[in-house]
Amino acid sequence: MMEKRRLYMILGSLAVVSMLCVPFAFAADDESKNSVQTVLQTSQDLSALAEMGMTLEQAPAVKSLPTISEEDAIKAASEYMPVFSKTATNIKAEYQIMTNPNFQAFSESALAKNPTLQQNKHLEKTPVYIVSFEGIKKEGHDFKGSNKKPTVFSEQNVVVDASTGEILYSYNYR
Amino acid sequence: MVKRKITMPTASLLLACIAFPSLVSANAFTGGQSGIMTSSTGNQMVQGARATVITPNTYPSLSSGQMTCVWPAVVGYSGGSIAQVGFAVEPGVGTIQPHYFMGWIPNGGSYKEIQSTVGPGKGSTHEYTVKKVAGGYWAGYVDTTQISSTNANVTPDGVQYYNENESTSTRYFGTSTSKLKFAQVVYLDGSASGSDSSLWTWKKPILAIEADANSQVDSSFETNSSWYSWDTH
Repeated sequence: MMEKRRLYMILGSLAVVSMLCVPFAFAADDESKNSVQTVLQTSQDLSALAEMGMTLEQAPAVKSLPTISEEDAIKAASEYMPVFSKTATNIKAEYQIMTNPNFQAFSESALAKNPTLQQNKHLEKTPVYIVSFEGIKKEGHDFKGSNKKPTVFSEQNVVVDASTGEILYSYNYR
Repeated sequence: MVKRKITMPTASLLLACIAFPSLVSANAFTGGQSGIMTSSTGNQMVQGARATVITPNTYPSLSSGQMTCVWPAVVGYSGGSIAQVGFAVEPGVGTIQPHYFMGWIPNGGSYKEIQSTVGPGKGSTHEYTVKKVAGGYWAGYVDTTQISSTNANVTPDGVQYYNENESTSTRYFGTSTSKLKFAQVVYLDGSASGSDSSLWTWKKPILAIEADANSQVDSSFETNSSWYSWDTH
């Protein structure tokens, strides 16, 4: 009789422990899902961007929501790049969190409209859109005596401040 | 015999065109370049290039696909590398013309470039510097503002200071009445140390001043480290 009671107590304890563990199991599952969500998704070449001083990190799902829409970013970049907006075979935009301590030559209006940029003088985890004009043709610069033809780029990238819609800078690497 | 004399140079020219196709399609340049600069100390001699550029009172009007730009640069003649900083008029790239840029080609790599949305005003004076900084980075500045920097592997053995066009048919900066001026042209001599940049000194380089077709250069570089250049279309 005593043995049966012990058995019931053990089984009961196991049941309670199992029930208590369920939320943790789901939490672990959630964390796993979150870690999958934080993998950076970009069509940019991250090693080329690193050579140019730029690093990207995945935008959080809730925080730092862009003030302007993707369409607004493409519109702003297209107005800034009127030639490429007509000749590009494809125009796309990526929302990213960008850091670039290497670039400081912003326009006065870009600095005036973004107090954080004004303070840092460079991009520091700044929400941006990278608008890419694909299928364009832009000749790079060269040097005298170069034994190669000047590079011809097929993509023009424009970095748009996702908080203000201001053009921050542009770049080429492919 | 006469026929052979004519044929040999022609064959040589054809061979040169095949071996060096870029010589046929090279861009146009007006300004100055050094020869290969090496140090007897064994340290890398060229660690930077700097020039003050005074822009003309008018800027060239270009069409889409054309480009004219002005820059000082450190150049690796041997490895084909370069780091340059300056300003460019290239109607395809943005609505701000000219705009500041920094570009580079690493050894064995491809050209990359960052463009600003601001640029020099007409008749303005700015100092353009490209030099090696902490961490082995190459940084480009307009006055004290950093345009960009890169960890790209650039190993210069020369310096160049040019107004570069994508073609001799494209207009250069400057007119006969309002010219582009390069002044205070110097390079950063790193002969004294391979790593301690505090020992590096800015010096006047020895340059060959030259002008490609449809441009002209009026050099007084020997006496006062400056020259004027302009478009002659």
